[in-house]
Amino acid sequence: MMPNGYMGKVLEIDLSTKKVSVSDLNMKAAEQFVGGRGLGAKYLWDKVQKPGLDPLSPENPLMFWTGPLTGTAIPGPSRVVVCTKAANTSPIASPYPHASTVAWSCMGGMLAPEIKYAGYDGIIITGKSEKPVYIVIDDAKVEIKDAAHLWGKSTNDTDLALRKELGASFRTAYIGPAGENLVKYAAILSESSRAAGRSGVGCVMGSKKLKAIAVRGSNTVPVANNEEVIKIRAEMFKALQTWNGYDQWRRWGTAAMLMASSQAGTQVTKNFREGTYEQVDKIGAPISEKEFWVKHRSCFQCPLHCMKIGQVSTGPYKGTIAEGPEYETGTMHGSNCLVTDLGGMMKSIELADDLGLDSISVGNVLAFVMELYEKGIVTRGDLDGIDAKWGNVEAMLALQRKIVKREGVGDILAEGVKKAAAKFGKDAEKYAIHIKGQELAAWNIPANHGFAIVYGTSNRGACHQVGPTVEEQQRRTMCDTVVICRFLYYGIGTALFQKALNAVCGWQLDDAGFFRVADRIWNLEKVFNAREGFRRADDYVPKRFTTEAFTVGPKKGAILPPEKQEQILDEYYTKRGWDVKTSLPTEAKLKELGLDELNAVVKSLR
Amino acid sequence: MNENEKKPEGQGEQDTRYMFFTRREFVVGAVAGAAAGSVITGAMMKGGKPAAVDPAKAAGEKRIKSPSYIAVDYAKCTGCRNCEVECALFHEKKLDLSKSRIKVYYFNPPVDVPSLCAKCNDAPCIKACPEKVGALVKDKTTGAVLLDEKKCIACWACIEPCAKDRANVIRKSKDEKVVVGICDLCGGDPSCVTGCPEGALSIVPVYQDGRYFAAKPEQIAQAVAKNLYKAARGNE
Ligand code: SF4
Ligand code: SF4
Ligand code: SF4
Ligand code: SF4
Repeated sequence: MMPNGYMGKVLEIDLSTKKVSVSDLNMKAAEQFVGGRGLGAKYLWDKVQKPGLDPLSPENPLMFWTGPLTGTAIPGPSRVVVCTKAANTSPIASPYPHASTVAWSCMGGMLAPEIKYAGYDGIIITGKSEKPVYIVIDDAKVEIKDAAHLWGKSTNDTDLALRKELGASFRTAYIGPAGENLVKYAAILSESSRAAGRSGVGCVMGSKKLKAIAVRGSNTVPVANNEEVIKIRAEMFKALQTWNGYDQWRRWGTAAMLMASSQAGTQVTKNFREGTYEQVDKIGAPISEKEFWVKHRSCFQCPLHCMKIGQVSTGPYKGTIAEGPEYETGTMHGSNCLVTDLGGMMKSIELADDLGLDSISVGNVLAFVMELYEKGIVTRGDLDGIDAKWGNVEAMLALQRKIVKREGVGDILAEGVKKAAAKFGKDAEKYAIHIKGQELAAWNIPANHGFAIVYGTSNRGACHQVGPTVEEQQRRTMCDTVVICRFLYYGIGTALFQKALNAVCGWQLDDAGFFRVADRIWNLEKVFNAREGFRRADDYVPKRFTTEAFTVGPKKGAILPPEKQEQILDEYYTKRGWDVKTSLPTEAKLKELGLDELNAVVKSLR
Repeated sequence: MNENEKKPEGQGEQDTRYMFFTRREFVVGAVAGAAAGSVITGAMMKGGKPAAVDPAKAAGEKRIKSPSYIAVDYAKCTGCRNCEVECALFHEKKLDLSKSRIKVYYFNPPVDVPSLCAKCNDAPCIKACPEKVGALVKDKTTGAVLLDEKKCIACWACIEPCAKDRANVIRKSKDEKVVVGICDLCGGDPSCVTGCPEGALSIVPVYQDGRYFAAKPEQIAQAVAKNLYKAARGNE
């Protein structure tokens, strides 16, 4: 009997031995950790028994997780969460040369429901193939196929080739040349522009010589109370339609925030130096709608269609078809690099997707190079002749191509800003805007200090998504676990999703239970990281934010005072029930969460 | 003869050149009198509220009173697949998408194509079904092809003509006991049309020879991409 909400099976593929097996989902783990990021953390902990595992070694599992609501009639749980040990993070001090954090990276679209329909709650890939391969999953039939003809192809060409080979009924995910060449911030993409972008999951996929997975399924997800589920479905659509953000999300998607955030001083501008971009109207939503957008796209069952697809119709980049700008991509490739040409910015975003780079990290890397160039820390010679002036789109394109080929300076930049800064020396480190080795995203800190907690305490290194308070972090952890899109959570709230979880799984989870799951997940990830060597010192924001105040815009003068940084961390750890000095979870906290077994580990770290 | 029943130019000829995706004016002409949106060339919706629910629906009245098919405005479609979900929920009362009679496919460059039965007037699927079996019949009012599951002997004869030069929607059921995929227009009140949050689906009366609406998703995608991405290489 399948447990309600789950297919009850996990597909395990060892690419070293080419062994394919199906195991029962650990239902005890499912009750404690639910799905997505939660099951990812639990399975990672169980599979990686010792600290210091090289993330690019065959032993590191690359996992694609769904949630119990995925593939049911409930709108929203359409995300697949890719979990692994991160390739792009590292602590300040650790006895282990390969120490890194947990990694999770969410991607919307159609892949997650298809994995469930194929009969699995998750897919776990271990080992390492000698030659490039791709995996085709057609319900119970699983094949590991030669990918020699796909290797080296861009993500769009891979998408087209797979479609030609398999037909349009398979849902696919793949890496580009960035993942193949082990760029640390390589992404996994689907439907040409959806991405599990962060955490370098594409790098881990590339290390396994796995180019793509394709999935098709014909099963249904068992649900405990079908009628109730259909009722909740209707309630959710109604809730969305009456939500005051509904029209805005549908029309602009996250691009609406480009101009709003610039006003609020929270936009990342000029490699994080400023919070306001004076030229934001050149790359914002209104001009994008007028000159660029062609159509909206949605994830499974979502009426928000926040994805915008557009086409450049004039100028040197005419003909470029790209997704965006979203707030993140428009900021990282736009204001952060002082770009004023919408067509050029869209070309840069399109190229990042096509090469299989994390658009956020690479936008950060590009601005980092531009600032070093301006400050004379790197010269044109160091950059293989590229004139990395602010706003120079051609330089951005040339650098990205070098990064994915790991050619010349690209080989240094492919390691991310933290390691590149160490290589460049001089003052370069001052301009490397990362936490725990992962590049910061498009929200700036000085005018909104909550982001110091968001970025600083995130268990996967700098991430703008995790929430500024413990309570919000619990809610968002549940989003990543029930694999709900953040925007549907904004529109619907957690209460209806919690109700849906109970109707689908036949559980009786209340508020407290819901949040305890989130707390448990966060603490397990935290202990994983602590075992690798991460401590309080790793949770600080880059010095730029505590030493340089904004010089322009409505929030001119804004800064994060160093004592405020200390204070908010103290408060945060206390609220979490962690030791303020080390940031390690206390014995009582782990006990309360039913994570007693972790206490021995934490004790050895004190 | 009203405007919608008039034969557009080129109809009656067997040549695939006259399929709607190569003759845009045909489709645009076809929906002009019946549906508000244009089918292929429609401008993108600027977000905003979804189409209002048809009041006739609220009154429980059947909306289809003469042979009709469902036209898609590909520029509005976001690929959300709510139509697939609503179709399954209406017919199966649960989410079994393997039985959906509308399927949405994604293509690159980004085009989303809901694919469903075109209600071919000459219905080669019906003709293919063995005479003694007679599992497929045409609904005289709506023009939909209706399947009597109890009569179907799973000979798969109907699959081929539809796959050959029509919409290619008929497939074997998962248990291989019966065919699935033929749209019955929900008996006159299409759930997919009501359930589409974008108003991308509309009910359009069929011409005398509806076969020209039948095209495979791949073919539709190509034509739509050409229209949506005019500045792309080769599309100018
Ligand atoms: S599209 Fe296929 S199923 Fe529909 S009427 Fe034509 S041949 Fe029959
Ligand atoms: S499969 Fe069923 S419906 Fe199709 S031709 Fe055979 S008997 Fe008729
Ligand atoms: S009209 Fe009814 S049967 Fe036909 S595709 Fe739409 S929902 Fe399905
Ligand atoms: S419900 Fe409407 S917008 Fe969504 S896929 Fe179907 S036709 Fe397209």
